[in-house]
Amino acid sequence: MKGVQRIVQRSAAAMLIAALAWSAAGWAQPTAQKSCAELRAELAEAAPLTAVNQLSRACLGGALDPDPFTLRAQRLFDTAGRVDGQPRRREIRDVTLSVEERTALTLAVLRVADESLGTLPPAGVDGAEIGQLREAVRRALRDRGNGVEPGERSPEQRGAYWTWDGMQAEIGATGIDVRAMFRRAGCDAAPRGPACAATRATVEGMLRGAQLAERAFTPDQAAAIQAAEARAAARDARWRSYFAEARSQYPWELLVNSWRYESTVRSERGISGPPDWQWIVMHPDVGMQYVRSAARGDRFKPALLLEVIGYNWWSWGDGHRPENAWGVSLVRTYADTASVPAGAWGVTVHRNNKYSLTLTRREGKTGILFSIDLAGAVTRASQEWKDRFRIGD
Amino acid sequence: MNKHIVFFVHGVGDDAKGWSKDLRAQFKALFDSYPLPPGGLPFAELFQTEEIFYNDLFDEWRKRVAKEAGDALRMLGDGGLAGSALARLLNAGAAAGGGGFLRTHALDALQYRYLRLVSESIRSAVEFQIMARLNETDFGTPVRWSIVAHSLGTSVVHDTLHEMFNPGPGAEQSALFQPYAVVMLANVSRLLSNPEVLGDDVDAYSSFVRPDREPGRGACRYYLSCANGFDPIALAGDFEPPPAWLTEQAKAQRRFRPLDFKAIPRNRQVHGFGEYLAHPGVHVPLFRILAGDQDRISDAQEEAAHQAYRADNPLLDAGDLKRRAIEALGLRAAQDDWFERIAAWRDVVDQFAGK
Repeated sequence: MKGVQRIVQRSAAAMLIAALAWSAAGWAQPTAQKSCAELRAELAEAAPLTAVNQLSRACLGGALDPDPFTLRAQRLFDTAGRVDGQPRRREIRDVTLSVEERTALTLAVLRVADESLGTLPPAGVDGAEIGQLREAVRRALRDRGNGVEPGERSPEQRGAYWTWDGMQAEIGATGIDVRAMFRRAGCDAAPRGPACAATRATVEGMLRGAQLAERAFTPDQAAAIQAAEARAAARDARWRSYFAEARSQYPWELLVNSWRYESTVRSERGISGPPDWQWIVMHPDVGMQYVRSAARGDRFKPALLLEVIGYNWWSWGDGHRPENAWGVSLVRTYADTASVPAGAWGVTVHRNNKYSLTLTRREGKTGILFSIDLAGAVTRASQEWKDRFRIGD
Repeated sequence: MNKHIVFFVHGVGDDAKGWSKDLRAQFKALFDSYPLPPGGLPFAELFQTEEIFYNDLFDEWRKRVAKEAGDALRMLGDGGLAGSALARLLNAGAAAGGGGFLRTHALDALQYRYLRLVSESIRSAVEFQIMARLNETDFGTPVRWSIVAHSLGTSVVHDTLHEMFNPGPGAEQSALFQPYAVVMLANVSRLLSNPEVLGDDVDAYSSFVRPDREPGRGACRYYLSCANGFDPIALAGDFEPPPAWLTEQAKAQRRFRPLDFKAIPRNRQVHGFGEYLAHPGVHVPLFRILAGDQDRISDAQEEAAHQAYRADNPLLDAGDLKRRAIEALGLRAAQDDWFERIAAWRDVVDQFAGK
């Protein structure tokens, strides 16, 4: 990363020098946020499209806009995010509105947008676009009021329908081409002429109305984000539990389980959660083996075991952790014993991905194998407890 | 007011949490290196950068099984079972947790492509990190976000966005919060596309991850795919969508920007994340689109930036040994052999990252 840093720094420095040589004016980066009045003053000589594009960031229906309609809309959002006796909640995650509350808020902000557009001159040279935009706002008002679902029949009820795109100089999907409006007003030839100035004022008002309309649908966006975040959080927590708390998997087990998992989720759409099962395949492990009938020194010894094939399953608990897990495997065990055969076949039962108990048979003698966790619990137990079960040398 | 959130997604390697700190600082420095236009807002008022991290999911299972196998081997000590087949299996598990190129680079790419349990958990993690951040944005103002991915991260991002936004079950209401710009550096999303994940007969050219003004027709508004002609990985990725990928309107509006350039940075890292961003052929169009302002960087400033870049990173002569080695890697990358590609990847990392 150091190399990356060096080259980017060098490039940035070189560009800095080139840019300084190219233009000394307007170089310094501001340290304090400018007001809309200051931004407008800066943009007095700018091309009209550039000016409205810059103002669209925060001054046309945005956070810095001192326009009374924008302030009214902001008060509506502030009220919606307020709980009595507590400070206003700002973030999406903190604001939960019912469907009815969302609809009421959307309608109220749309009315503000409609009123804002109503202040623009409907009979001027830009009257057609103003009328077109206002009619779209009213369709959105009507459809939302009548409970029409957003979608192809009512595209105006989607925020993206209103989103200003400075790269294209168009207002979302409204079909309003701002570049064409400026061209028609003669802004190419006379950018500071009265006709161009009038159209610029109109476009600013239209953008404010469109951005207020876009904001009217932010409660829908917020609800969609909240719901998607809740689903994603639960899914992520389960995946992390799957890898951390279900039984560990060797590379070949992960491959087998991935194949099996893929076949189960093939028909599903969207991101899937983890399985609530796992196959156990050729899984080596160790444990403590107890064979009562073995010679004293061979009774309780470390042993290797190979789970040849097995299956483990559970349910996902409220905390997105595996609960009530059970598993069973066919195993082969090996211990360094002289008085009884070193190898034996057996069956292992797993409980809660932590404890495993294996029963083996060799020449008619039964052996018991504890997993390390279980053996640890056993060896931590009192001597009296161990004596009772005759464990140890 | 919500700032435009820009997520950064890493590729393969041994990245740790916090991997993007320097990169994001440099991204800001690059943006601020251009003069602020009249009425323009500075970086800090326009953008909030965020890191996405998923490398732990490649490592988690490997480290766990390595620890358990290692503990088991230690418990057994030098007993008579040390040479048994079972002990060899334990040794294989213990070795899975080691480092080295094969495990931290090649294995990560293979895990992502072939281990669905790992790749699905990674997509889930990426989705969650995006959604958690969007959920922290201000209520009452529209959310705008973009994502910049590098190398393997391009495949991860492509697959994640397809699953998040492809209309239908599992993507309910997701059209309301789609990304603005998707930026793919050394794009391997086509190379690694997996029909088992994306759906029958779906690849990176037929998935929902395409740019369009209408949220119902594409997952983003702008799509930038950047390839350095000297980067073997980008050459292997070979992202060149067919004309039918876009609607006529999206073509007219230049919603897709293939940003191809040929440069060998001074440090010879032709594949690096930061090196891609540092090239004016990448960051100038990127900054314009992120700022939503074609005039954010003027044509004269753009040309000056190219000149400065060329002066600082002069292209090696055609006969230069280092250049010939890089070009040879590119030729190898065009082959269809996976192991050859992985070997080429290793050579890139080894030769040009100072290893």
